[in-house]
Amino acid sequence: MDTKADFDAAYSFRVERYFGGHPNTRAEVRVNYHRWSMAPILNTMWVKLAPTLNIASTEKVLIVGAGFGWGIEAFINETGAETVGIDISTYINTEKDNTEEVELRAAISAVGLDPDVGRGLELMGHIFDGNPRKDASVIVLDENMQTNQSRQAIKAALSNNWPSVCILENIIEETTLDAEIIQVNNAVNLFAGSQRVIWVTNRQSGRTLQQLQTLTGSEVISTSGSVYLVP
Amino acid sequence: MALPDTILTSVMVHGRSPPFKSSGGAFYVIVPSGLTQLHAYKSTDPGVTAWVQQDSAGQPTGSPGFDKISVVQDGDILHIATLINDGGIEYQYNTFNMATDAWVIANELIDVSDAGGNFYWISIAVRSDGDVVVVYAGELDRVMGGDKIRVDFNIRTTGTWGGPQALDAGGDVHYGAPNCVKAETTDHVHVM
Repeated sequence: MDTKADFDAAYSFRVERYFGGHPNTRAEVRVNYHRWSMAPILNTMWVKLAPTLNIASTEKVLIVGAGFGWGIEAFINETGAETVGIDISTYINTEKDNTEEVELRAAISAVGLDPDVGRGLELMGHIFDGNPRKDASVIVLDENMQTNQSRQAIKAALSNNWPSVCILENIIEETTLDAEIIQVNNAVNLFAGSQRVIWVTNRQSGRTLQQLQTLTGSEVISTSGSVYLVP
Repeated sequence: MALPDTILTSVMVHGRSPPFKSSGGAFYVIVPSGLTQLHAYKSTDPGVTAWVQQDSAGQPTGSPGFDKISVVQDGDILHIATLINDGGIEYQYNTFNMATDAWVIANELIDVSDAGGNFYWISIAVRSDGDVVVVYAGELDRVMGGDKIRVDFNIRTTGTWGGPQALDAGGDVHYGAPNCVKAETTDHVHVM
């Protein structure tokens, strides 16, 4: 996923049904890859996964595919480990320091409501927190690990430590090629020292978790935490 | 009583639609016919007297066809929730009066949904004040490219549907195939 259109296609959430419903004479307000909808999902995921992965607070962690960093917030809450994220998506890097206001207002206007009046204003109060998408306490770099310079930037963000745990967070899509997976897997192994490499993935990845584990030789865990494969 | 007693052939609709007994002692069943019509059949003595279709002029119709049904009795009124699948899903509400042998409400829109595949479903209950409660597969969420099945409820009060409300907590999980029933001595509607 790269553009906003990619994210919109992959993420879509109902809003009004959680706040009293909407009349059947018009469409419902929906949002996409936004904090209101995604942060609880990522929080739930890391509450489930962290105890299984057993990552100590002393680890230095890199999360690849960190989006706006909402998963990092949850991950740090669960593990206490120093953590940085990277994401090379155009949408993420364009919008991470902006608020969601423009997009959320557009989502409300799209069904004929006014985001400044009545029901539209009420919904804005529920789904818009007024803050930049990426929390100031979280680091999400636009780095791809492919060059020494990129890897050094990640090291610098981890208080000048190489990552001891690299987590690939839900970055595999149906169309992702094995070669692309291997390229990423190799890249995280190019950091100095040795790292735990953990793929977090779901059923939309076009391959079984066992196939992914065989392909990468790394740890693989499902987003639900129900399957955890180790080399 | 002779069994089986054929009422209608070629019925391919899933759900809950048992026989009901009216205050007058007759028996009724609600059955989609040929998928595109919803029939009410009456027999004063099943197995002995024939099942006869009632009020065909007032019956609900569906295009391309009914796909699920849920029927519950409140006195002589049968409350019927159906869904029509035409690529999208349209949930509808109907009532049949067993005292007058007539359809009262036909094809009243409850909600629409994009829930597809084998996941769409609806179930109905009626509270003592006459409010109608339905639970059903509502519009989908989409997480990391994957559809997530959702469960909604909707309450009809004084003739108006209040609008779909989420019964689930959302997230990266499915919730599906809800069934509801009103408690016998209270107005609590239990949902499974």
